[in-house]
Amino acid sequence: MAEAAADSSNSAVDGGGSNVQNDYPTIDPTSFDVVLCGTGLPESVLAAACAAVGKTVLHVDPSPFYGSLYSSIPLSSLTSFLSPEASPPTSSAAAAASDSRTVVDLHRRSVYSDVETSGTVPEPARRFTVDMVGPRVLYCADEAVDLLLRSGGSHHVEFKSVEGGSLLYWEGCLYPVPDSRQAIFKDTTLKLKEKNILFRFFKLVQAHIAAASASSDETGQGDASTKIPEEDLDLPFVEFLKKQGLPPKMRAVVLYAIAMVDYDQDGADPCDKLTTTREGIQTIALYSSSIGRFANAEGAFIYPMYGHAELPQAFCRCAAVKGALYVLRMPVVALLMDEEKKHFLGARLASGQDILCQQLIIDASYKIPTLDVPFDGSDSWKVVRGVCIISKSVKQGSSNVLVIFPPKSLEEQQVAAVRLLQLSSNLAVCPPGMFISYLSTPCTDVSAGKQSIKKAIDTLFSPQASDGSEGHFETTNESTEDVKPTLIWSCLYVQEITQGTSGSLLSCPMPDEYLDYRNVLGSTKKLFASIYPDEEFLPKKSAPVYADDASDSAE
Amino acid sequence: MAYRADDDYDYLFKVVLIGDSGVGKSNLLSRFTRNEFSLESKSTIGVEFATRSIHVEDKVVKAQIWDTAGQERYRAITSAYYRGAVGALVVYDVTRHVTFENVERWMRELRDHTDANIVMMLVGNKADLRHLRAVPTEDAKAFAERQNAFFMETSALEAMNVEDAFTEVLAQIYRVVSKKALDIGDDPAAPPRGHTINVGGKDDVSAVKKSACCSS
Repeated sequence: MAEAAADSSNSAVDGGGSNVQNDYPTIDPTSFDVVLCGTGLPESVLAAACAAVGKTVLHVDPSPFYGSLYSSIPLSSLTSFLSPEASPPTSSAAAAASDSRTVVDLHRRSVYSDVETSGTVPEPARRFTVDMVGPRVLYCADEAVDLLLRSGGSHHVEFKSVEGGSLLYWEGCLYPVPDSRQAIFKDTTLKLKEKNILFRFFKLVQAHIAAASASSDETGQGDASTKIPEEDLDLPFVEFLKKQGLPPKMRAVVLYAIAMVDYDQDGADPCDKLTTTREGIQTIALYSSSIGRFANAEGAFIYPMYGHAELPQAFCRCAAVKGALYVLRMPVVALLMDEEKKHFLGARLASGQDILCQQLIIDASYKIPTLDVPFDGSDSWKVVRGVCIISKSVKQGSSNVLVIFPPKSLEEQQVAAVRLLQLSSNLAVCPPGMFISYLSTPCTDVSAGKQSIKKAIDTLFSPQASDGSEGHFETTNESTEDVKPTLIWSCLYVQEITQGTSGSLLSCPMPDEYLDYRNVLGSTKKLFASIYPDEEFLPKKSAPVYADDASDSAE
Repeated sequence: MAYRADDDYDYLFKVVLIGDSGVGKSNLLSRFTRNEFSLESKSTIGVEFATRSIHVEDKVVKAQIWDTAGQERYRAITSAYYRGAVGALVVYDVTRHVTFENVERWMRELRDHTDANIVMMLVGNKADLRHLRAVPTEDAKAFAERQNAFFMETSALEAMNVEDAFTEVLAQIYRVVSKKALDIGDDPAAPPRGHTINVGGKDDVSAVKKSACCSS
């Protein structure tokens, strides 16, 4: 049973053999409102949104599986996914300027670099699935969840809780993150004074959130006395926390483990990385409303079983139900423009077939021809990601756990938070008895970012070479010392980050450095609005009404 | 069904339809669940899944039957489509031999993505078009036997054997599930119900999930 489940961890069905010479199908019809290439989360949500408002959609992907940069990859395929061979697309030698068209070649590029692997992949390798977006979760109250419910995508995805909650790394120890009033009560590591301060702070924030939502309901008439003043909302959040009397450790809990701030708020860095009180409270509100939203979900976070590529698959299925056409193993190799290259006409597929469309949307692994300015790598944002296979849970008795390393908690040069998300076999992403841990940190300096990730790995895990003499570190929840998990295998790589772009050719956002999809989905909605400004984005009740002989509950 | 509330059932089984485009999967589904047939042969649009409850022995079995939404046309069925399926109808068109030739690939795909105990039935549809037959019954029957699958020829147009095909698959699933329950003392399987976000319990890892709705 678990064997079959794990075997199904591939994110798409690849029934064909691995022939180099593909037998491409001819697509019928040959004209669509929208053509999308790439089946990452933004492309898939856009396909569902376009199909839901009646647009004709062709959605293709060069890979034999769904997901693009948001894929869930079998471990054995990870290195080839990170370093694909630079095989130019087999563009057929059709006439370059037939029927008053100009063909502009479209090329792909690798968004990954600096791949480092160490250790030996444990057997059976096919039982491991690696998410390219990790560490990533959904808040229970996230808009991604609401989009799944609205579109009907929730029929196709199952979730598990990150039931172990969050841990904060502080002064060499792991502490449970007290993320609610109940958690503060139960916490055994907090001093009474710390509990009182945190409790008062949460009460203040909850009152503000309640007053703010009441205020938006009653068009401006709220209980002003419980709202946080505007001048405080515009303060850097760290200053507001200091005003409330939170000591450094409690500030770290709120900033990095609950408000999910990335960058050091106490450093002398430029102030564009400072989070405002308003922004911090926004995330705290999402976090708070996520706890308890689903009766059977423990904590604020859920994770899709079999990996994150299940999400784009769900949205693609919704688009297909509305009539979108799906083709895998089909790259787009060129743009079709009019003779003067002023107007976009369509796209040429690898089969040589030309498809007319009003709008082409591509994933971020394609270069954009018109914006082929010299690439200035020095000012581009990147995220360093790590994947580790470990021998046991970082928190005894927990399956899925989030660990936060605040800036400077690992070493003085650590300018951004490091996040680690540990997943277990209950997600069908690894065999029982082992765990996959994802790490990430944003950076402009790749070397410094990698150093932070390695330091986090060394802090939490023992290298495998010293079998039997594993190191120890203190987990404050236990009175006795705990043994570190053994690091069996790891891979580090660097991924560049770009936002989506508009124009006649839309490029979708890449997986970013954040823990959730809010930013990615925000960009995706903007892209949709730029194509169809008068259409509603995934209208409520766009989920298909399925034929049912029973009157199941309306919700 | 006349004796129970409609949403009361003992087992919920996910069954998937697969096979080439245009072999009549959607008409089989609509004939079984709504006793409808459409001569319009365009690709499947608008159907997520359909359900119907039947009696197997003394149990109420609710079938949740999934259609491909047209994603099979260019070989783009998601792996999520197969998750949790305990039964499958692999459909070909008896008047188009190529659809029978592709059955082997569909079965391989199915086995790659489902539990080894899945109940599989090979279905030769459009058997009413006798003068156009291209796949001899004996060839298909022998192939099904080699594949350890059940076999039936149907006509969604004439409603021939449609009921029997589905009820046979459901009865066989019930037998497998009952035997498994006897073997391991476990609860019967049920796929997600699709009405809310399904968050499984901490240690429940089976792709064929336990059902909270079953009664003994």
